[in-house]
Amino acid sequence: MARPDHMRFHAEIGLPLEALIKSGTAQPVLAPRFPSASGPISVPFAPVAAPHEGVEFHHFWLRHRAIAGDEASDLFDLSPAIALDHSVGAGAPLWDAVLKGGLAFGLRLERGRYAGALLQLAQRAGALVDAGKAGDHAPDEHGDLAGDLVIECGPERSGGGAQAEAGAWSNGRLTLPCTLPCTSTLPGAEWQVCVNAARRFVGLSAPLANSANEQREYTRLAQQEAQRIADMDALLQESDPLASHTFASTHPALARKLALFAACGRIPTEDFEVFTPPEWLAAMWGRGVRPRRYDRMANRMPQQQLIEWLASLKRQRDALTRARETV
Amino acid sequence: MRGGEAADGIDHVVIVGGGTAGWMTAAGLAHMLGPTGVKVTLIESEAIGVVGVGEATLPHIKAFNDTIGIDEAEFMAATSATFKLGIEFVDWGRKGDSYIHPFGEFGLPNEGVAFHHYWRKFADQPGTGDLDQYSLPVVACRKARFQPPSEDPRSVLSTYRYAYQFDTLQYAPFMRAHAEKSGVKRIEGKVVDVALDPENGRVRDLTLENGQVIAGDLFVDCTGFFGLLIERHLQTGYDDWSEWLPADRAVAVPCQSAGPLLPYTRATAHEAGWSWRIPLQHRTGNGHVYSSRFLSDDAACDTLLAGLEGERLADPRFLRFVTGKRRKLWNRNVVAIGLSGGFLEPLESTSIYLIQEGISKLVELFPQTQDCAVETREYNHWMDLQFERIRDFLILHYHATMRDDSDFWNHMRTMRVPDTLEARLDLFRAHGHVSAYDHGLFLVPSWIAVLIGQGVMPDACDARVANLPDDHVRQHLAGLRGHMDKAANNMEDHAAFLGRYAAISGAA
Ligand SMILES: Cc1cc2nc3c(=O)[nH]c(=O)nc-3n(C[C@H](O)[C@H](O)[C@H](O)COP(=O)(O)OP(=O)(O)OC[C@H]3O[C@@H](n4cnc5c(N)ncnc54)[C@H](O)[C@@H]3O)c2cc1C
Repeated sequence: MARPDHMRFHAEIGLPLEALIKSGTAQPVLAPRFPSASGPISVPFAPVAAPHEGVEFHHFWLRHRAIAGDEASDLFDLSPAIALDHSVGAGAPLWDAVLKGGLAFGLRLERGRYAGALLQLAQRAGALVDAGKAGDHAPDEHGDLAGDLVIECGPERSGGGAQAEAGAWSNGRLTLPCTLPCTSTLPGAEWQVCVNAARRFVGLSAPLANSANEQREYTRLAQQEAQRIADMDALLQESDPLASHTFASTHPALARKLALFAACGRIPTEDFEVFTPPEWLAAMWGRGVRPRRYDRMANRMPQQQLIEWLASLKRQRDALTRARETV
Repeated sequence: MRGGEAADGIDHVVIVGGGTAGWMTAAGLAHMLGPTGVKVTLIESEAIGVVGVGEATLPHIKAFNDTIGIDEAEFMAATSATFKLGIEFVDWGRKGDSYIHPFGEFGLPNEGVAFHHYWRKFADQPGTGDLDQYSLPVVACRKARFQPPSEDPRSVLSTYRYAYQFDTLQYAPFMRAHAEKSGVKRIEGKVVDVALDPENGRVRDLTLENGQVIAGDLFVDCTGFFGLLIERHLQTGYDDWSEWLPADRAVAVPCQSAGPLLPYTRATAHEAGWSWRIPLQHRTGNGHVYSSRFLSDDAACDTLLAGLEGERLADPRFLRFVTGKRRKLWNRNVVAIGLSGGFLEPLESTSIYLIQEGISKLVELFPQTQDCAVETREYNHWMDLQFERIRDFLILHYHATMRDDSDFWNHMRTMRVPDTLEARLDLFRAHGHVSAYDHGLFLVPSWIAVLIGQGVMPDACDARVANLPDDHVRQHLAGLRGHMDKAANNMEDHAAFLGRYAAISGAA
């Protein structure tokens, strides 16, 4: 699966979305389901609604619920992304709705075809492609494969030589963080780390023989990114994330997110996040973490305006659900 | 679920101090939190007065003004403000050098590669010119021109932002009027006693010289270098960064304007520090920042007075400070905003920006009750990061120099700098790549401006540009330089623009 960043990446490499749609390579995904210790959680890419005067929608929703006392409703009941996402697999009309809807969306990719399209592009750009397994190439006396740089892309590592840590670039070897197990369980993570790695590597372009500083910087950034993914994985896999005593030392950034969100509903971000605040919100919410209070600034909106806002979101959600049912 | 009142609720904020920090905080909190039931009181003492310096700002101030509903034309007229497109640094890398750190980009990226790599490819060749010549705000500064930026991302006029240079003595009263309109209650008086709650150590109330007692739920210490609540009473502690930023004194003096009205601040390096020149509509602000370890007050004052461009308008005023920040900017129920929270010296005009950051973070995290340890921790975490990243950027100015004409510069050039900065320098020196971050004031173009401006030249450019045909790169450079020059020529003279500004904004 590709995350919404596919728009930018595919534009960068010259792979138009229309081609992916026409060839049946891609279907839209608006709210992938993340596996968790408490069952799958829908994590929409788009927020339930846009922030108002800098205050995220969920604070308004919490305010309304506190007043209306409507304990049965859920914040994500109003998510247009979730409403629309259920129509995945329905074909052309769905694409229309997604493209018209203006919501951030990812792509569920048919792996073989997508790899084929990328391969073609790579070859057109001059890449030499060898279908043999890496292990087929004879390592040199240091155990390294021939070539100036070996990029390890899969969990199966090629033979010999000093192995780089996941996400690191050193000793002529660059290991993508997708070799970390959690990138394959979190939808879109594997794709995103590959894209980020390619961008980072290209962005730090330098002659390989003289790239010690670039290697250090690459590794620093890649490892921060890997940590952000590991944070999400830990949030999802821990049986009771809020009660975890180890997060403060093993996942300090996650501990910071959980503590602040539980205290006041804010979601702090680090440098180089992979998942966006709406995704963190959905994941924390799905794991049962609830803020003790909402942002006081949400009280600035007159009650009537809030009621009308919520009603319009509900109408929008219903329209999407109906559209889905008629497909 | 709480969003409203509670027994130990925080509904009354008391701000102590009526300088720039105090009145900005009062206006910000009253505008943003007033409608949610928060009451704001500000205590200030005319007898003590304000620090009276701090006139150059960064572009973020416009967003703050817009958020709290300040009309730009009214603000500019009331504070005798001019527009600011950047800061000129004279004699920093070497004596005789000059570069401008603009509020904007250098060139335009091409095929995903930042422009300075294209420039680097031919930087050593005659005819390429300084990097400055490829930045529209810099070219505009050099020609004393100004035009508000465009919102159309395809236009070269969208490649910069602007800030203001204003009269600080007019700014606080202007903000005061605005804050009072938003419901802030002002109390004149000197705080002479601070009562702490014996149970939890929080500030309970303040006593004024006339005996009046003022209680509050949350206190904002805006008492400047006094740090009345945060330090004198809560003894929070201070992280002293003078090891890296040794300037500890300043002498300031205004003078009459002379020459064209420039849309930028000038920072000229001297024997043991640097002097500022800030052009306002009605006068020019000047000051000399220096390290007392390396220079006497008299010598500093002489250097300042010798460099004045117009007739002196007041006696020189001396100020003392220690660069660094409070260990916790929010401690118990006191938040330190402004000079009471820390000071990184005036180079790059970051103090008012830090005031703004303090206000917006406080509004974002504004607690409902005194049970707010998490919000406090988050506030401190955020502000520490801001201070530290600015600190590294400021150190760069002093450290990345070839100057060896005084003990001060020899010390600054050879001192050990924080590892974070050392790694950045190494990365840039190799192939011109800049280590980026998402959260921090100074972004990649700012680092490039100062690094290259001070003579830190990458050994080579990005490999993608190195492999491009020379003609292609030359064309790109020449095209851009011409484009910038033409765009700047089409801008209006800064002084003329200011003269017409009130009418323009009235018509808009
Ligand atoms: C040399 C120098 C140059 C600078 N240049 C710049 C610049 O170009 N750009 C920039 O952004 N920043 C600059 N700054 C920083 C800038 O001046 C300050 O950030 C800004 O003025 C805010 O100051 P303040 O309000 O914190 O303190 P002050 O202006 O000192 O205000 C303190 C207030 O507290 C009150 N007070 C103190 N004690 C008591 C008491 N006991 N009871 C009641 N009231 C009390 C005082 O009366 C006063 O109202 C500069 C600073 C210095 C020292």
